[in-house]
Amino acid sequence: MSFHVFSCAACGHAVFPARYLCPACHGAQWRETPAPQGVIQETTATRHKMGEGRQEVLHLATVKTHAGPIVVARLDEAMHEQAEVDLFMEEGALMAGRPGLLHP
Amino acid sequence: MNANTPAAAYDGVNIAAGIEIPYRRHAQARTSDLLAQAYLAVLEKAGLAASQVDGIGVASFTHGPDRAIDLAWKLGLSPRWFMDDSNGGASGLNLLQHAVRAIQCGDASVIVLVAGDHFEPADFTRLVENYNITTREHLRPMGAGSPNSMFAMLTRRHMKQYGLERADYGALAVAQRRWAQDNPNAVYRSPLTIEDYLAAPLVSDPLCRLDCVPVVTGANAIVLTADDHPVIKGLPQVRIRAMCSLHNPDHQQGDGLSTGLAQVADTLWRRAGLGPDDIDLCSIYDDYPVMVLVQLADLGFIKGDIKEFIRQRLLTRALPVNTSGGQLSAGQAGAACSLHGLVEAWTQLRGEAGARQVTAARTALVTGYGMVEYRYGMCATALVLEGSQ
Repeated sequence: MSFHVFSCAACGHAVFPARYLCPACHGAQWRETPAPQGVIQETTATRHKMGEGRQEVLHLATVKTHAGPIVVARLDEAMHEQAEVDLFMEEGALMAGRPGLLHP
Repeated sequence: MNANTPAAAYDGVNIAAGIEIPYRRHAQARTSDLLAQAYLAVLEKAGLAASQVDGIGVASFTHGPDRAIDLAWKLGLSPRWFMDDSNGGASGLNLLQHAVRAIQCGDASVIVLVAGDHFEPADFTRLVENYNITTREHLRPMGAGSPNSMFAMLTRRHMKQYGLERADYGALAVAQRRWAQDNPNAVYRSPLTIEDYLAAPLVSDPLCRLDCVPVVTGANAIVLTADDHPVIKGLPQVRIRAMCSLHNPDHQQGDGLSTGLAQVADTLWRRAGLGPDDIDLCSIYDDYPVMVLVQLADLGFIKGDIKEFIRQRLLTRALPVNTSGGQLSAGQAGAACSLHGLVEAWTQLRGEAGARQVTAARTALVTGYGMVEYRYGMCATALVLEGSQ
């Protein structure tokens, strides 16, 4: 599924997640703006304990979308800062991955 | 209205007592029991009878389904003023801001504020994954419900911006543990070296276990009275010289490397008639080491190089910061964290801090911070206290 952010119909300011009123002009009308790509600003690998000493590693990134908003996305693999990524929704989660790969 | 709009002073009100129900990693008491214990302990500390209390405020995550009025009923109290606040690290000081006005305006004369939670690790996980709708809808589906991941990336930004390394944040954890060693109520008191810090398991890189507050159970309480209340006659006074808050300053669209305090600092110092150099000790909200450095910079305590500040002011105790050991060593007992630093500052200003007493402490700076919406905390409050010791 494609990923969208929300642009204020009055001033164009884009946000994610959605708001009732625009933080820039307090306009109340929004339109969905596609945000298919961005650049990784920071990453982290969060380790979750799974019992019996096993760990699950969750790769996350802060991504500056080309549409404007800075979002948090999950990565399938460790990636570097400044890497270009595609953004897409998968089972309710925002995912980021290498450009050009076939994303659902 | 903006941050420079004149506000009525916070004078005429006294913090008559502050207490902590010792934090524990495991405890049987329910949240309601803890809050009642805190209420009784702070009345005893203040030398007040229950019949003299006419206001109560409660800060808690886990007190529900009970609220402040339910606690009042259990305590045999008929309040003229009551209030609940569940805004986490901001809740205690937020209650304080309202309570002072209530006393100044005559709505109440003696207000007790209690803050606390029964918190086991499973309670903490349940809380953070349902912290707000944003977390539930946008972060939890990624498996990223814990604030550790968000503050890990914020710390990474801070490292890049200021050229810091993990050891710089570790220095802060080590400095606070040194204070905790002199605080019998701190949960973690064993000696901690920078080598221990650097060897600790990573939780969410660059954060290790020692960057994350230990989840504990406990409570704090304070009593506020009018300056002329008979119960504080002849006792050392602790007054609020100034208090400023600014929440959601950037709508989560910045980098999180400053808080609302940056915008209100000038007003705070002007109203206090003091500056950072006049402050004898600080209680800075320390959910993560990076946020201590961010708030100290926002308030003008760090004027130049951060590494130099850590080495020359923090490690030497030229500026005593988080003298209880802070949440990083004393523990984070849910919403009790919102009064923990204030109670420590009160204890220091009354000269009752024992082995960790800051010599001739007369002024203190206390902050509250928290409520992560999407990427970092939204709330920030700071107050300047003055003792008459």
